[in-house]
Amino acid sequence: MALSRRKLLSTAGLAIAGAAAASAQDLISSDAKKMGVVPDAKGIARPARRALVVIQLAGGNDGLNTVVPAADPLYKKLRPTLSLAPSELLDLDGKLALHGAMSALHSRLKAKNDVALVTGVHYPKSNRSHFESTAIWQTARMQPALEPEGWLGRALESDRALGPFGMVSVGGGALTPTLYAQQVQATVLSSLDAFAAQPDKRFPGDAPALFAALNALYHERADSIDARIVRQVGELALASSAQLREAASAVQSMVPYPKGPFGEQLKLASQLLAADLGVRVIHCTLGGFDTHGNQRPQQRNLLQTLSDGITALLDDAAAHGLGDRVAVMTYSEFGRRVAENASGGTDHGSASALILAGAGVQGGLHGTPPDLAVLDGGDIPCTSDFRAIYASVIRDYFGAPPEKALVHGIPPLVLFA
Amino acid sequence: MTLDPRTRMAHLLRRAGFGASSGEIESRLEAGYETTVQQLVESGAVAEGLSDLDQQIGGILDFGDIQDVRVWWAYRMIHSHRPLVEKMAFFWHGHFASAVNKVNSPWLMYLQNQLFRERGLGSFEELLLRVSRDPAMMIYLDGAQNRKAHPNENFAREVMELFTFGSGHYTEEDVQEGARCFTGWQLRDDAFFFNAQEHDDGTKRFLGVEGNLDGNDVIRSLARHPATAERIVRKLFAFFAYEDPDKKTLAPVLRVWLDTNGSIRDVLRTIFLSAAFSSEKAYRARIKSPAEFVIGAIRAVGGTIAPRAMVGLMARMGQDLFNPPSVKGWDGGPAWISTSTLFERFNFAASMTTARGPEGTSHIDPQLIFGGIVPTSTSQMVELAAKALLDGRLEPAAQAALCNYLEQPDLQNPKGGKGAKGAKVNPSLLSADARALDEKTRGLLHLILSSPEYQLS
Repeated sequence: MALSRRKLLSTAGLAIAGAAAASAQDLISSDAKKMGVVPDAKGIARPARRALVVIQLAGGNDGLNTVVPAADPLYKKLRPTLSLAPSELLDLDGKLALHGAMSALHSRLKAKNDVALVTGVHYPKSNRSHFESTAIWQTARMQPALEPEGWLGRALESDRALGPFGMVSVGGGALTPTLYAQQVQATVLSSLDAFAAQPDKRFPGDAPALFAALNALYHERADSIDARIVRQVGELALASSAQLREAASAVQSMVPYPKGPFGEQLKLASQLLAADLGVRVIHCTLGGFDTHGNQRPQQRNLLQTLSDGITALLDDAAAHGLGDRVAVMTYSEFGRRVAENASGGTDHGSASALILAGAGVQGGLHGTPPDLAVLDGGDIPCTSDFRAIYASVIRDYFGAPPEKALVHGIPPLVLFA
Repeated sequence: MTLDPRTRMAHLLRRAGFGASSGEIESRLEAGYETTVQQLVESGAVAEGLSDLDQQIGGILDFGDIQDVRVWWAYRMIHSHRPLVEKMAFFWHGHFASAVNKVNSPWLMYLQNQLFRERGLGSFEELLLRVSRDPAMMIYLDGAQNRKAHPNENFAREVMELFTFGSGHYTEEDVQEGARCFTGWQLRDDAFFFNAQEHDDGTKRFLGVEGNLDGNDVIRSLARHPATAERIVRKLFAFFAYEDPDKKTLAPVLRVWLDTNGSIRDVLRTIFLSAAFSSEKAYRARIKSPAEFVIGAIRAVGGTIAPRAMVGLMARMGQDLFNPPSVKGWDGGPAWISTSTLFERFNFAASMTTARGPEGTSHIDPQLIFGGIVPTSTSQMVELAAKALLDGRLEPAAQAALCNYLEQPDLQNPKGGKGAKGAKVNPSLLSADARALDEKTRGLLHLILSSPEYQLS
């Protein structure tokens, strides 16, 4: 881990100098044609780099009521109270329909054809434990405890041009395992205000001396006791706070976001993307999908927030000239059982639906449509391995070899134009 | 290499409790290390000293409000004279994790916490049995939904995977059969009751044993399983001493577990008296959890901090008491540290050390850190504060940075600085100017509590 701090600081230094030209060996932007080359504000040519916003739908989203097999007679039979009526649905291809709460995404799909809906996504033999299945999705490993690196952390850590803001987790708290890497530290923040060390408000004149000392305490030392992790993260936090806050707070949102914490996360994500901080991945979380009871209103609200949020973020990115560089992807630890339970809800199941939208995305339906006559122990079977989608993101979106981050033998789906 | 006596005592009080002030360390040193270990593990011999707190229950504190339950526990962590009892309640809360988000009853979370407090140092088998019948746990892991016709496997799975011997020692059939054994264990009026009509009294086969088994049989066989002994002893050793001990180090501790049928008290005594516990390898080998960081800072510095804000800040640092993220508890270790949580730690240190309210509100007296000595130089200030907060173990570079801080004038408070911008303060002026001394001492505490070293236990 000793390598990463110097690396982080040296790349941070470059970014500050406004000369973050990617190295020739830079894996991620090796596909320079795809990335294009654009001049930045100072007129310095550098590769335009794509960024991905990953949204965790925590709790296990019911994919069957997200992308709905409306034409299948078994749908209403298996879900007498939870099935959505035609008036609550937005048609996709005459067979499948989108949940009516997602009208913003549906309109975007019709207008721009850059919203992909992938059905039947999971892995074989669903693990019904929230935390175990979440860990599987976040690491792309069936035994996450043995290989705890996140799939995006693993994919991006060898990118030599990855700056200190290459991977950002929005929402605060612990780092999401998705972005965990051995070699680099991701940045975690809850808000711009909280991303700073506060001095004694009564004595602002003391702040310079205080911050100088705090920085000195976090300066890496060869003779230091084993506080390396703390020191590395602290040094990153202190070194990057001012730059990140200054750059991001200068960005004005051009569109309204859904009210509430998730909208705030996306708004902050969009500020970070437009601030030209070298952000490649941002992880956000929308919780509340564990709908064992009273699912109908809960999921409707959540999906509307999600759909409005994704379209707002993409519109905002486009308004900042980043329309060809930002995409969004959702994931959830599992889908839910096909049959509804006695509480107006659904229990932990297997495959679900996944959404990709934005730059380069080939819009429309992907994967195998759910067939309710062929269930796997009461679940939608997995027909598209989630790792095939990850592989597609790594290879076709980021332009890196997918074997960097994934196990061999699972070919990428074709999801990007 | 073992630690010097004072450092060893401070280390013990951090691990077996939530840290201590210099004053407490000194008086414990007079009693001696072995006596202190004895007092910690034989907790019943010491009065809690919390009668004032218990009187507030139902009056000032509302146990229907989880925030009040958090405040109540944080108060106990700070003030109880039985620190190991609170530390074990904290350990078991992470081990037998239940979250108020699902349990949805602050009162039941409180009762579960009392169970950990009352039984946390006793027999593991007894504790496991009571946890299995604990209402909060029965709601959290759906045990209360376990019916003969529809066995719910959630508790049966977790009691093996997480609470006892761990994966690799059971099959999916053991989960299903275990769930059948627990059928009929239900709740009535928020209390455990056995519903014989819902109990499956057919023949089950659990861990290779066949018969009309029930939940008690399952608990007994899990608690007495040698792999459970190994796993819990290893986890206790990692929590109190260091991660990944070798077999040779663990063997005597494991022996005690097996000889005493899992007496936690005896296992902990053995750990605290072991050479490994007092070794350099154990020293500062763990990253403090948010609760250890916050409570420890308050205990070490002294003073009063508004408790509601305190527990709210712990949550922002990643540890929302009574609401762990999953049945696995908190990951802990390096996962405590992110750029976001570190800023929360820095800013807790700032708000705590600059608390200047009147008595009865958030208030600290920074001079207490010097232990009654009036320092005559900036280096002595740093030395005394580092002794109280870091066992005096501060590297020269950090020492220099802190001295330098004390000597920098406040740019807007020239009274303390007496000099042009950038000029060094004459260190003697610091002790002559009470306001500058107060400002700089608070700044010094803020910095030490924010330092990388202080994040380690």
